[in-house]
Amino acid sequence: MKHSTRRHVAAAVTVVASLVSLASLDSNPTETYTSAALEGPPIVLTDAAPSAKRTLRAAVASTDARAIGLSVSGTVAWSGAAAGQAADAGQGFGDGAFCAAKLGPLGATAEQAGTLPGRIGEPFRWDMTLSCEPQLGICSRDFELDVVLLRAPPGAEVTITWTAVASVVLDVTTPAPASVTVTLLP
Amino acid sequence: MTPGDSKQAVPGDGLLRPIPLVALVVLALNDHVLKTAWPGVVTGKLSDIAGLAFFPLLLQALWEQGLVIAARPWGPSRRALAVATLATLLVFALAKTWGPANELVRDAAGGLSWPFRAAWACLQGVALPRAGRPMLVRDPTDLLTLPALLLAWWSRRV
Repeated sequence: MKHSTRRHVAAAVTVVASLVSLASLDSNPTETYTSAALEGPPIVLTDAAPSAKRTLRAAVASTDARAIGLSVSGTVAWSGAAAGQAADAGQGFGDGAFCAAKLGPLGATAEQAGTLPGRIGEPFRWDMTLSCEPQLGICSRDFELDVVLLRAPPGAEVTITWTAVASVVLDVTTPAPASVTVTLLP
Repeated sequence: MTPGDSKQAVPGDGLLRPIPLVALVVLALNDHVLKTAWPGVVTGKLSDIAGLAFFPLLLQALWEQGLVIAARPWGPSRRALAVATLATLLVFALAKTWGPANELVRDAAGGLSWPFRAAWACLQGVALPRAGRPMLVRDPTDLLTLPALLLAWWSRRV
């Protein structure tokens, strides 16, 4: 190979090697692992207590966690004298009331949280995923489930039956975690 | 180095030898094909081995190219390769075991790669990416791959 050609080839290989090195970081494939379901005690909302908050912690013992998420699903039902009146009037359970839930990182601003409606009588599912910064091999994030009764007939009692499942996105080039857990904090 | 080598030497030619070239191909192939097809410990470590086999030579090449661009005298230098190898060893070992070093390397890699990701986004006509940080797994068992640094030295003889 001529000297000038070799010089150009060396420069080109240097550039390619630099790009391959940069692209090499963060190239590991990932896989999502989920926890066992946590069935929380029902949340009961009334005119007198139209909102409730629950703090949940999703955690995994791993240095490889990239994202950790929480999924809350269940149903919203209502009862009380107003329910009977609505049934007598031929209204469906979804007609008279609904609530909203804000699921987000504890203490976060509204922009970081997801707000989704849950119509009474219909199943709901609220999801939130956050990036994770493992510290000392443990990654945990606290989520706040903030449920508010937006509209309900006077005297209605709204019961939210819910289940939470945590998920974690992990690098699969290292061993899988022992477990991913979700707990309800006091 | 023999006088003949000196006559033929060009900046960055340490990368033109078989070992770094093969390592470069293995790294790209493993990162973008093999890890996805067969995720696990073997493919996880293979990238570390391939990277360590050529990264000191890449640093040496960048140093030599830099000297040429700066119109400074240059020549193939074992000292430059020794410094590059030591720097690679230290940064790799610390990033794999010590949180603050891991964070620093991630910040540096994120900053260095952003212009390329931004250029790629412009070519695709999509919004510019945010200055993110790549995930760098802190796995002390990756230190078992450190002997691969010797391949960078051995490549000068092959």
